[in-house]
Amino acid sequence: MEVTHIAVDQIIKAFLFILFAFFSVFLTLVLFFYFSRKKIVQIAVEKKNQEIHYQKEILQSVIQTQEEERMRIAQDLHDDISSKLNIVSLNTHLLKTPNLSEAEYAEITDNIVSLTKKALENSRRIAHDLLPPVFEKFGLHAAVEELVLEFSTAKNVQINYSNELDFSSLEAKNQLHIFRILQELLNNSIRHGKATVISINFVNKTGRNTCLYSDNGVGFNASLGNQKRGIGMQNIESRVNFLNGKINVHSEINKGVQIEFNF
Amino acid sequence: MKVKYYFYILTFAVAILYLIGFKNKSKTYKIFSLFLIADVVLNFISDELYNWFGIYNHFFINIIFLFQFGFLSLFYSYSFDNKKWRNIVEVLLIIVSSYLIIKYSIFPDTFFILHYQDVYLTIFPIIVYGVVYLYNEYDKPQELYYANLGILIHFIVNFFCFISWPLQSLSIEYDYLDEFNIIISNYSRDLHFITYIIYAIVLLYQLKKLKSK
Ligand SMILES: Nc1ncnc2c1ncn2[C@@H]1O[C@H](COP(=O)(O)OP(=O)(O)OP(=O)(O)O)[C@@H](O)[C@H]1O
Ligand SMILES: [Mg+2]
Repeated sequence: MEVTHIAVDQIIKAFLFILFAFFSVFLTLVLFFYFSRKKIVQIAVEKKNQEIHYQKEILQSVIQTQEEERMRIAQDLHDDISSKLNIVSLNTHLLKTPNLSEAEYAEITDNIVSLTKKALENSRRIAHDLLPPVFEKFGLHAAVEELVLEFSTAKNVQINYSNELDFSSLEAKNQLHIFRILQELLNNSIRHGKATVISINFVNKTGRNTCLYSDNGVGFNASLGNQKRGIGMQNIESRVNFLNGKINVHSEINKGVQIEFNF
Repeated sequence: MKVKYYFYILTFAVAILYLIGFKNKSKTYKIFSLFLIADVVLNFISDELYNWFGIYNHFFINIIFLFQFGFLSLFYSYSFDNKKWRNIVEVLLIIVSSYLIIKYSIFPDTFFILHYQDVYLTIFPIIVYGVVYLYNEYDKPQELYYANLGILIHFIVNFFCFISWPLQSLSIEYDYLDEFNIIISNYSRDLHFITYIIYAIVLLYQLKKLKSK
């Protein structure tokens, strides 16, 4: 009788202990799931915040470029047109002076003609800079060809351009994005990279329209990431974003720049 | 050959694979691979003790538990970035192992019996550490994520098998529990084998992941 008593006692004890062990493991797992959930939510919130931050950055850079562009246009207008028109206005006032000799009269009118011609030319150039007319008429390919031509004659660099894509199905505003990206890339290559050979290739890479851009300039440390990025690169990134593409910038000091983006 | 020998060969092979290219690996990896090989060898010895010398292996299981607890505590304390957790692991390691060693030396006969309190003290912390390791994956990819998963499964199953052992051993003395005993020990043996296979597969998968990196 007593023997069974001890046995029952021991069995109950063992059972209770197993129950306790089971409960501890259960509690551990429950806590794990609870904290995991919290963590997952926290990570999601952080990601969202980052996205918002990124969008704010883009917005800011858009606003900033807008301001800069305005300033540049204002400067161009002021330096190239207003100043010329000022002199034209002065000269026309001179015409009013009595007793002008034939020669003086001719000189002043010549002056006015040449100045207005220059002002006209400048205003054309400014407008042209803002939106190349060839772009409107003949599309991206022709615009890039013209851009390449302008750069290679003015800046003493050799630019190799090839294109195996058809841009006609691309929306006009997207074509403009690509054009602006190339403009900025060329400007950077010449301003920072002092490049002498640049190549621009539009290819079809695994089914996606891709632009391969490279120069032989001084390069920069691309792995520094965002910290040294100016507005130019930031704008390129947001434009590529608008194109639903990805950009990959590869560069090392003295190894030029290789950039690839798709759209 | 008995089925269990195949399991020893399997786990031994896995442990050897972990030892290959062990030199230029991280400290945690080294500790872990040493643990694997020592664990297989010790378990094998413990299993064969009765065959070789005709002695019961209860004391040896106590040694194995202490060894596992010590090694894995080291492994986790090196793995954790969080200082608080590292301290917890180290303090628990010192407290638990000194408690057990002191207990065994003052009451030597307790060394020859399997106590569920001791099982609890040496296995449950490892389960908690394994779970914390899983949780750390959210902050930063952990080197031995899958191996840890294997350890966790293995230890949870072991935990219940060993903790229910006193229940099984009771029945040796009381006939009316014999049937119950047989059922329980059969189940626990099968469960053991299955988890051994899962354990080995998960460990191999971990190796493959590490290789492909
Ligand atoms: N092709 C290049 N070769 C060498 N360095 C470059 C090149 N492109 C960019 N960089 C480096 O990256 C930096 C960031 O360029 P980014 O176009 O963003 O700014 P920026 O040209 O300095 O200014 P912004 O374009 O806003 O007028 C540059 O200052 C330059 O150091
Ligand atoms: Mg720039």
